Amino acid sequence: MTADQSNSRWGVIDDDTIAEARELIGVPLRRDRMQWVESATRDAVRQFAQGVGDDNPLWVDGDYAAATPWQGLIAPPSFLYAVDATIVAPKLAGVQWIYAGTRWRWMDAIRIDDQFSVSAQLTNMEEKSGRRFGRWVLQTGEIEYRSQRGLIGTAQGRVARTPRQSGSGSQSPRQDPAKTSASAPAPAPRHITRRGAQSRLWESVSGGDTLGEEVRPLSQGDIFRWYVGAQGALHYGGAHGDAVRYRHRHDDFAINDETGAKDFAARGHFSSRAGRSVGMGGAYDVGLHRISWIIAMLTDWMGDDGFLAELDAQVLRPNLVGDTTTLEGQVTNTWFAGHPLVRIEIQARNQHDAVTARGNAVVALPSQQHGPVALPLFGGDVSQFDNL
Amino acid sequence: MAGQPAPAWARDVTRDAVRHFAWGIGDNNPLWSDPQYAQQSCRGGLLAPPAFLYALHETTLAPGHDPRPRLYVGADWCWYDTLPVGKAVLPAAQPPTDHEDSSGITQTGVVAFHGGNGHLVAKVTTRCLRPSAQTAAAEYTQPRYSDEELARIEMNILAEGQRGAEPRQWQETALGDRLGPLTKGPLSIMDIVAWCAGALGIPEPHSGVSVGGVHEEIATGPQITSWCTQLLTDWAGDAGFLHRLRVDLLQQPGLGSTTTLSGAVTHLFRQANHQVVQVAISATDQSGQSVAQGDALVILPDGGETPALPIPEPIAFAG
Repeated sequence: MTADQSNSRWGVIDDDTIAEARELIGVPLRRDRMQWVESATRDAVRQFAQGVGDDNPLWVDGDYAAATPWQGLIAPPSFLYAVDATIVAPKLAGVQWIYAGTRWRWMDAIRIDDQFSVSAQLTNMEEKSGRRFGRWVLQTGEIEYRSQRGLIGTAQGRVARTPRQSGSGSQSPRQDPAKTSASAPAPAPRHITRRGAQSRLWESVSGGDTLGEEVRPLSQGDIFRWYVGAQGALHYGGAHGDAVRYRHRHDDFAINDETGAKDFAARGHFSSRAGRSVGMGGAYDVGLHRISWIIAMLTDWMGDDGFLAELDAQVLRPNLVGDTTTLEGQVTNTWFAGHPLVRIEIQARNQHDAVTARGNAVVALPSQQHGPVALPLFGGDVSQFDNL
Repeated sequence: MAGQPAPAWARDVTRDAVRHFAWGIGDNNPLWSDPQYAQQSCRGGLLAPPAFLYALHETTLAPGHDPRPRLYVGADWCWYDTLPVGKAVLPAAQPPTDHEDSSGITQTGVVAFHGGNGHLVAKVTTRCLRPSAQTAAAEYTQPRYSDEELARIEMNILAEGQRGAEPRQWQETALGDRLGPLTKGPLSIMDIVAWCAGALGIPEPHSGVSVGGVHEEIATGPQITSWCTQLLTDWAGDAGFLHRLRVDLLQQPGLGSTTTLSGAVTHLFRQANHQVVQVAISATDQSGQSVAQGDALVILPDGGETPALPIPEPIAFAG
């Protein structure tokens, strides 16, 4: 145990540490060191799309994008995760955080070279208890993303703060994927047919329509690609001296059991041993990444001139290296509320048929009767989302 | 296709790309990342660190000879000008020449970097070894550190910093002056991820880049070379200019390794109206084995003005 961790409150969830975090509810939080990108440069958008595993040409192929109604490249809606990862998890030092979900609302498309400023605050702290983690806390934060063109979107990010497990992960219901992968090779990834340039007209969609099925196996390389495209080492204080200086200021680290040195606090994404020690059962994906898969499926389905307005997505279970996720979506209803809208439910299941993520989306579609989707959505009145 | 250069990780010298690169080597110099600081500096705005050019071109020029690995064993950099954020820089590679000896085939190639108006900003000659025989990789075990060793490493890192705004004058520099130490380690997988996020991405296997990165879990040759440039720019201060760096890379640090970089002033001379300091640099791992060795030329102000740029012709190393 190091000097920093000898602080008896390090890693502890109790009345005092919860009360200390609660004091920050409603207080504007500094986010300048939390922005992986400040601008939607063509490099950043390409890197992000690669990180997600989203090969839609609308994000990367300038010639293709110039011929769309956007008349140029735009970024996938999930790109805002690179601007601010929606993780609002102040205080509770030393307590592991696990991403639980986002409620996204987008007002406008993200255009190349949009420059973002971000405001964030903690809005809620909910105490929970359960078989898996004992006492834990759900922190909710709200982020607003503004570019020079105005409000582009908002996010409510939810983060579970759970105690680290001791021992070898006896609570884990899962096998080490390294032991099972040899007998069951990962299937090839499969995506739904991308609608692309052909408009998906609102009038052509009805409740009960299915989006098709996507198959996404998870490799360690996929997790690395997400990190290098979407967040780098930013949320762990950076690399080398930057990380040492960060860990010197904030008691946010884990001990590397091979070297004995302080290491970044999310080693579970890269090492199955560290993944088990936080109760995940093995090396696990980044929740933001899985939600970005859902977003890629929706943008593939809706076509270049559709607009993703809202997505409330929950990350429910760990997705481990070696697991295969199947995403399915279905239109539940269509209606008109300022725009021609479609509601879609998306579900992600793993190879054991367990639901690992869920999403509920609202998409605005072009329409024969109402014409193209007019942006910003609702004429810029974000309060209209509350009536959806 | 095997042996073809990987696509550039970055195409534009943007503020975000430059921050990502600096973060990728753990270089917290505000001249690369703090717009207010940089505005008020003698440079008048944000610069990219000299090694940022690796994000525009990985500089491994080693086509063919598959499946031999590509070991980035040396780089000879010459920078003629600074790299202001927002200014275009375009890399152009020349086909390498092959030279075979008992150790294998060494491929030597040149990448030139031109500014938007066509002027030469920098040029690098790289050497890639394609070893003739592969020694079977021994089972790698990460070093284990004592609490005292870890405390000393942390103390050294917390003592690091930049010369920054106060110009380092040529006259105040003396033979034997020390640079560093600058410590990189114990190397975490997240350090390698950060490098990839800033400089490299995750190239497909056999895409023609040199050995290293997240799959091999070792630092790449360009990464170690970039650490060397940080040792020099930390020391030189905002008004100093790193003109040349030639470095031999002798091993690539793996996970858990701790690389310590240091330097010493070996020559002081004037050349073509420039006041030049030559520095011998060396990098060693936690057991004292050499990681890299090289020399650098840093141009320093001499009482008055910041050194005039661009440098018209490369200045020769002394000795």
